[in-house]
Amino acid sequence: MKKAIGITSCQCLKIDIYCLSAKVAEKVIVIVLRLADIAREITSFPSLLATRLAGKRFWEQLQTRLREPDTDAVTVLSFAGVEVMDASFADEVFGTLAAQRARKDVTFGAIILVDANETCIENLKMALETRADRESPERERLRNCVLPIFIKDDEIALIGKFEDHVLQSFELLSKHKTLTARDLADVLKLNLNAASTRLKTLADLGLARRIEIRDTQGKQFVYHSLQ
Amino acid sequence: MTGHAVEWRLGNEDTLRYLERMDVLSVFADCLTAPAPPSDLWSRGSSGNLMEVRTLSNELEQNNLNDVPHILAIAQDLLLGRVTAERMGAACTLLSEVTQNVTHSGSQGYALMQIYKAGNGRRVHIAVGDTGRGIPDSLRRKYPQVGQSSDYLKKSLESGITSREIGNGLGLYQVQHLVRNGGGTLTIRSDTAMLQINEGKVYQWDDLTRIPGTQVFITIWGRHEKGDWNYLLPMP
Repeated sequence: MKKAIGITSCQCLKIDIYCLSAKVAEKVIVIVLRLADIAREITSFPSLLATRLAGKRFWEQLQTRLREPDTDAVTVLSFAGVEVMDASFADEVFGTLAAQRARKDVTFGAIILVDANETCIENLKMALETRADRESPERERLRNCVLPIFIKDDEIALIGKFEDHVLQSFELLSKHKTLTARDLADVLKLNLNAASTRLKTLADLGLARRIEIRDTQGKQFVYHSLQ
Repeated sequence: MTGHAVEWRLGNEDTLRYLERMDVLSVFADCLTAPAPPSDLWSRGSSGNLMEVRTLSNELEQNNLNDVPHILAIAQDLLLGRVTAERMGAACTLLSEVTQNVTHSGSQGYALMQIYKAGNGRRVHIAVGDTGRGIPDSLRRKYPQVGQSSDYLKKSLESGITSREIGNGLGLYQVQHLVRNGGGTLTIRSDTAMLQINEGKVYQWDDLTRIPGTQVFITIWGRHEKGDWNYLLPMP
């Protein structure tokens, strides 16, 4: 049973959601951060997320609010009240977040974007898709620069640049809700190491929650979808 | 330049004062022309379809944290109820990305916007100008082998191209993307060159009279009624 996620006007809202699977009750903490509230600290126009310098300032603020990896927590970044986010701002905040995450420079927990209008999505998409091409060639080339975003019908989609296997694993996990490396190996007919690497990549990119369990067979990781 | 009521020869100081008013100017190889004195065309404080000329600082903090958000807020008021929310967002993105670039120029800039009825829809004109370094000059140091001045204007629209050492080069790339998707026209006049993107094609001019700085002129949405709208130079 899953409670609906309600987003109120408060800046940070914690909601405990209990998901009952066949055997265990899993508690998930959802932290909702409204981008317009964070923007209010740096601009008089919090509905207009524009310019690269404002993005830099915003990113500094946002980082202090993002949690360290916590398998029980998902941070929801809400665009409610944001009318415009230009491409430069999107790149400075979300391009940086996705790029740092892909390079494992930061280790934030799972993050999902919600309530973004078409303008915000278009500019975000442009920022993430072109990020790898715009970085210095001396840097290790980004293979993925991606974030999960809620779209209509409560579906979570990927936005940005991502490898085919990332999308394939993400969609399978969304469908099955939880997967182990053995599950993925069986479904895709992969060897266990390859399946394990694929799922770990998903978790590293913030596209899955990784939970360690110990049972009679020893230690293993179960990957949970963000859905 | 017959057929034009007003003509300013370069060297006239007024030329620079009115560069920001590209919406009513035609740019020729050796002069700028307009159909009437700018004071007649633009002294319309009560005009509901016009965002009067706004100044833009080239100082990063003032520009990015103050001038640009103010301009976007005014533009939103102007566009509200006249265009869809999606188009309002796109127009604000265009304004924002171009006006931020004034910080590269080393001089103050200007921005203006006007909405016209065009058929059943609305057509939006955006103009942003400055009298600073100009795009070819600012890019030439980092990319010395590109070619003529107009090639630098074309280069500036590519993803990742910036005059800064550690840069991004996203803004103008997104601008040309939005203009192409919106069926619009993008014109950039800088140094001795001009570039125009219209109906998916790119046109370049070189060896025009040198005009300081960069002037960006965007028209988007609505019907482009050829003949009624005076494009800046005859298509090559």
